[in-house]
Amino acid sequence: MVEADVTQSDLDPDQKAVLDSVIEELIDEVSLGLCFEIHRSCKVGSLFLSGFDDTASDTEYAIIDRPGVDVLGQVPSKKSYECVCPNCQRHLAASRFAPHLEKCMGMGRNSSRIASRRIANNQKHGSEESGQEDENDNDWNYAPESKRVRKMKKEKSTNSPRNRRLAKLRNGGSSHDAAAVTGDSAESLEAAPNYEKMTLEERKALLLTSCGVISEHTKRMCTRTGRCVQHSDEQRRQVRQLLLRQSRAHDLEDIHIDIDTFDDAESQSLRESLQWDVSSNSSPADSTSTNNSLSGMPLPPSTTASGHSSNPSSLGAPTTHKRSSAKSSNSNSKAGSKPKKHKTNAGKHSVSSSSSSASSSNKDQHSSNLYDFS
Amino acid sequence: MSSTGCQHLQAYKAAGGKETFRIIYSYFVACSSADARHKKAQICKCVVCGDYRPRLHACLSCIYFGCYDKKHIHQHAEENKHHLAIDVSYGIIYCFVCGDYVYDSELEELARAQCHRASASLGLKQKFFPWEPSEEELILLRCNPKRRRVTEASHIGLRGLINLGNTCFMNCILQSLAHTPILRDYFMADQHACQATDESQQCLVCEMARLYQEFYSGSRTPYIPYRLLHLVWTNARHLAGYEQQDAHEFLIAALDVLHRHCKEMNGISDSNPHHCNCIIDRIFTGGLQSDVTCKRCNNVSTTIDPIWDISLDLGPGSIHSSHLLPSATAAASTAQTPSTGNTGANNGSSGNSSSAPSSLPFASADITTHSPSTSFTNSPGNYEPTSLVECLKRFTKTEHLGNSAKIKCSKCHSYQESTKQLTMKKLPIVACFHLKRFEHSTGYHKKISTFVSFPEELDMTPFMSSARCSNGFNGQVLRSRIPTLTCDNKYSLFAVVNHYGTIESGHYTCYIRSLKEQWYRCEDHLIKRATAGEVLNSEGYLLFYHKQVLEYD
Amino acid sequence: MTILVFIQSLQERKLKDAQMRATINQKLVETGERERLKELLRARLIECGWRDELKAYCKEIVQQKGLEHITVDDLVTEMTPRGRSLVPDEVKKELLQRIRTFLAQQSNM
Repeated sequence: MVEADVTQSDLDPDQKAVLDSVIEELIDEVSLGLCFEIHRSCKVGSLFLSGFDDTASDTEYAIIDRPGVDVLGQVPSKKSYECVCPNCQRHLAASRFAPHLEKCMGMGRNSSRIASRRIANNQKHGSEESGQEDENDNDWNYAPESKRVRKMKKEKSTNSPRNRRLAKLRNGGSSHDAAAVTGDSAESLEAAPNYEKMTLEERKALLLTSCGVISEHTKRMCTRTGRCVQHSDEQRRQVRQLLLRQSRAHDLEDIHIDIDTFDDAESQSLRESLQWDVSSNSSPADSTSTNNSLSGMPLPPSTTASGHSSNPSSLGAPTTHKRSSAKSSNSNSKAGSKPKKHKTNAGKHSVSSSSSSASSSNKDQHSSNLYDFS
Repeated sequence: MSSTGCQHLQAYKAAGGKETFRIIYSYFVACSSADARHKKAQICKCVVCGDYRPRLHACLSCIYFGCYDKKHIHQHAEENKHHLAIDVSYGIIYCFVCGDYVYDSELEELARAQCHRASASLGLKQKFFPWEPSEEELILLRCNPKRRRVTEASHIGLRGLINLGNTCFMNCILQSLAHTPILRDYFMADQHACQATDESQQCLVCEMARLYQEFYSGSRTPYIPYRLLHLVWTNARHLAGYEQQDAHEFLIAALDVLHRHCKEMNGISDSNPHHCNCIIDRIFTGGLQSDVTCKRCNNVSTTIDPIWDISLDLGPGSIHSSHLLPSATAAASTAQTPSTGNTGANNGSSGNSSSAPSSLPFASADITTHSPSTSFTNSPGNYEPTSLVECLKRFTKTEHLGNSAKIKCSKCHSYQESTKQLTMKKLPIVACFHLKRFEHSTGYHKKISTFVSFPEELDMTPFMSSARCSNGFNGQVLRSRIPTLTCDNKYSLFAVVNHYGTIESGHYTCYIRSLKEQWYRCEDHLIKRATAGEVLNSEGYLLFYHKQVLEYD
Repeated sequence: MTILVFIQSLQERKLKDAQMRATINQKLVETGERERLKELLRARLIECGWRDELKAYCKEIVQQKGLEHITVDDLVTEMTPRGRSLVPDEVKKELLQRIRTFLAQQSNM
């Protein structure tokens, strides 16, 4: 009978009074909780009432409000501070540390020029010679064989200028550096030839450590990590397909995919991309073109869709997991929440089939290597 | 910290009272089952008053319920010589002999475990128990009564950074990170336990920890972040080199290096690298939801991507996309690649879409707009956002992917036109907004120096996925009706990075907030007072907001 | 005569109120809603600064009475009225709304 009273009338003043008292009770209870808390800290001795020595901080750490100096009393003119280079242990003025370190670590602009010349030479002299070198240089973050990792340590400590060169393809806010490196003032072309000139190995290495998505405006590659949040996995996948097609052409027969692990949607889009791979072998657009290679590149229609629906090969390692968990909760497209994802990418063609597991573990290897020899 | 209550409680415990305590606690204080709740609702009434009363107590000897207010529990205690009673709302024990509440660590531990079960059974968040100093820490605290504190009058927490040669971009980011409250608390609480003890000189996270120590040391001389630069360069080689750099790029790279280090430190297995629990991910990672709706069947496919920052377009352009007539793109698209993501498609585009260094998923998707032949549409003109909120509105607006960007609908099983909308699924604790002031378009690079206003307090509720309109065609319909009683999605500005000069050369400075309403301008080794008005009128490049309310998880 | 009727009806109403209160309380406890409400209230009171303000006041009282001699009763006497008065109206409104929604749901079941 009471229950009926309670629910029938929303505007019942009696009910309002009762509810108010319930709320008051709740408030009192929260107050009581605070009282217990304070009382407890008194009893166990963790309450400090006057711990702060404000008088000391007033004088010793007082902010300075005087013209001509900053709040810490520093004058605008730069005093000379010294630091010790962690690389060569030399003492030097702090204000010249960055330019020093650049040279000291062997990544100055001069070394970039040397590197670009070297890359150009490699390009001309065919792939055998460069392939050899590249293996030493770059396989550590590409090939799963671990014996090369050790080799890399030696190589890496000399800091191959080529790596620096690759890193130069940045998409950064400062534009002048890339122009300076290529010596090409035609800005629309300045970056495009760079990844064109690269050997496949170099491209792989680059794409394993960086996002690689090519900006439509600057035609430069994004050099953030593969976890870069500015670009989607889909974009990364596309750029990999674009730049690594050569490898697919050679190695297609080695691709081993366990179709059984897919559901329909996944296998379908995979098949589509495989079909495309085959057909793209005869594609006229090839890396020999000196122009902007990006226009006129056929990409599989499935790629646009896959970013949003169900693509088995999403490269960006960090996204896949979150994505699938989110999907299962709020999406009506049921494909995508696949725990088996990693399986699809097994095999050494992780680059072109854009494996999340392989690339991420390689990345880890990468950073631990840096630890060892730096 | 251990406490042992009073002798009476000790005697009670010695007589096997622990189990009684546990039972009473789990049935009448913190219920972890429906059965217990039912019993509590039936039985928890003062025996004398016959009613549920505030400050109800249960006798620890015979489970007699009496209220404290009207001293009915006192009466019971005196008459029966039952000296101990427990407060039903908080489970604190009262000793009638001592005349006060008493605390016993052992029972508290039992109580906490039960509280966890109770919260879990109701699907509530775990109750938060504040940090307590250990015995040892208490002694240290007592021996060292002097505390350094950030006050209005003290410079604790402020420190200049020496420019190491065009490294103002780094100094700005370091200042911003140094004044990120939750990150600072993490490092100041010594939470980073470096695994590479013998190599801690090589650990960037350790170096960051040292930076906080230096900032709060009270020293007035500028700090020289040369080791930090060295570590960043060795770990993010693409940043290395003596040249002017983009502060945003540096921020992302620095976060990435820190994240990678933390991941290694925590020993997170390679098999599951996505569930990173490192401090960087916990603070900076948000979830960006992308909903693609098929125009034919209205099927929505949703993806969520982790993001560390939100890059916002400034110039006119992208807005066209949402008003495109689907047919208008047909001619253009045939001439171009069938589907291109953001890699091709816009060779002939005029300077629309100010895709700066980092083109967002957002910018990348509006490929239909980039052909000049399509820009005749009835768009609202060259709309340039003049405030952060406008940028965010544009960022989360539904856009129509045109004819050239047909997407395979998983329901129709065919390629269909669709619409796309980005919203925030999960908000990060620290939201970093990147205003894309550097425009790189075919043939020219320039800096957009438009003034974009930004608020000191920002409510992200309208841009949440939960605010998204279900039909997907007008995502802003519901937004005005969202109640904003809660602070859940509210942010406070705490750092702003500014860039002065041109795209080729310029200078970075930043503003940081130490206390509420207390702003400072950092320019390399100089720190000067600033006003909130000055900050809000500056040409912001990176805007750092901190969540006002944090939830413990 | 009329006064008697009035008193009688007043008593009836009191009884009815008490019964209503008991029923509501029972429902809130039984379903766990009371715990939820308490958590919500706690969170809101932290958000609006209520807790900080009250805690500072609490410390003042401790300082007055002396750390050794302070009792929970001392604190409760001082804090309860102040605690009530400092709760923002919006918070109370939100709670009221939530309880009403809860009761409506209960009656529909």
